[in-house]
Amino acid sequence: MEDEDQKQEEVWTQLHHAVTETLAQYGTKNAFGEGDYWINDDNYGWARIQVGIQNLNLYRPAIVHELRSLLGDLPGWAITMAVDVVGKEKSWPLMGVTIRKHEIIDGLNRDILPEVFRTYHYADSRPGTGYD
Amino acid sequence: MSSTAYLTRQLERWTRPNAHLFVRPDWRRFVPRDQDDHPFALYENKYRPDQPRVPAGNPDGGQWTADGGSRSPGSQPTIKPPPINDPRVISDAVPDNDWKPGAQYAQNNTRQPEEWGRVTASNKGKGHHFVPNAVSEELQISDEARRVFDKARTGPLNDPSANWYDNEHRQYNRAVREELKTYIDKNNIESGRMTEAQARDFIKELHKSKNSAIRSFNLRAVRRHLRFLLLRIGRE
Repeated sequence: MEDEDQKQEEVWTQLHHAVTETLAQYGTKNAFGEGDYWINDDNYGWARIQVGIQNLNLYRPAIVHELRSLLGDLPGWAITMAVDVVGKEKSWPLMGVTIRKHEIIDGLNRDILPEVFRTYHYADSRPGTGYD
Repeated sequence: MSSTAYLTRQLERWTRPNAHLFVRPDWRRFVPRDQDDHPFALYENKYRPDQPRVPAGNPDGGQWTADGGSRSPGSQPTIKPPPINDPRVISDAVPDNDWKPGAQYAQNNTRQPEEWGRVTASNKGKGHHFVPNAVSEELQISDEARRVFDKARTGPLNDPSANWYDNEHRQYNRAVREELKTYIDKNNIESGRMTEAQARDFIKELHKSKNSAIRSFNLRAVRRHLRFLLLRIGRE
């Protein structure tokens, strides 16, 4: 159990760092919804890095696939990109994208997103929700 | 007993108002030196002076109740707990299926400290921070106070079968930032010189916060940590 905990800590730290570096190329991190995205800095012990997205441009397929490439050696791990647009907390349903090594779960509701984002398509993706 | 029933029972046990009575008196042997309280202290439903009472005329009249509502049938009234060094603090903190109130469990406990979910070296830095690092950074809080905030966390959380796309943490961050700004202004504190004692005091205030974004998020986090502890112990 100690080994598992230690391994989780190491992987989480490395992946958190890699996601931070990747997204820093495309926007500004801010924990209060005043930037483009936020990466949860707390390690809960889960095999997951959680990102909240304020700027929907970060859902561009190229960025999503770049994040997916970080999971190359990490089966079982995921990066979640939750839509977290300020002012839409109540009017928009919970939605986002879950990225795993072997799949992308596309939980974006195209009917709600502004038109410019509705054409985004992710190769190897399947529809799903935040429960998948 | 099914795992769900077991967890339900343990959650009820460790969130009851007098949960500390079932923590073994030598609990300090099993937690890191920098940890100020026993692992279950977060979950106990403690008395708050401003907590409403059931109105007179009701069968439970005068008893403490949940915020803004009447107490649910069969639930326990909230009472002020005695201090942790109370002589009645006699049994251990390891849940078991045959638990009986007041029984002596410490002698039979063979679990080693390193087996506790929360206290393994690699788990030590994990959990939900009640004061997010981003808040300390933005308000340029002193290193001394940051060290206190860094220790104030739940420990690892059970991974819930909840929607992964929830956005409550960002709202929590904003709410805590506002609470800390208010605390700093109210007490005429220069954030870069915030002391350890002031940081501890703020955390106490945070736990008493009536802001729903803070209360509900923290309650959910500590419940998930409690589930983590119970499931971890159950697996070993």
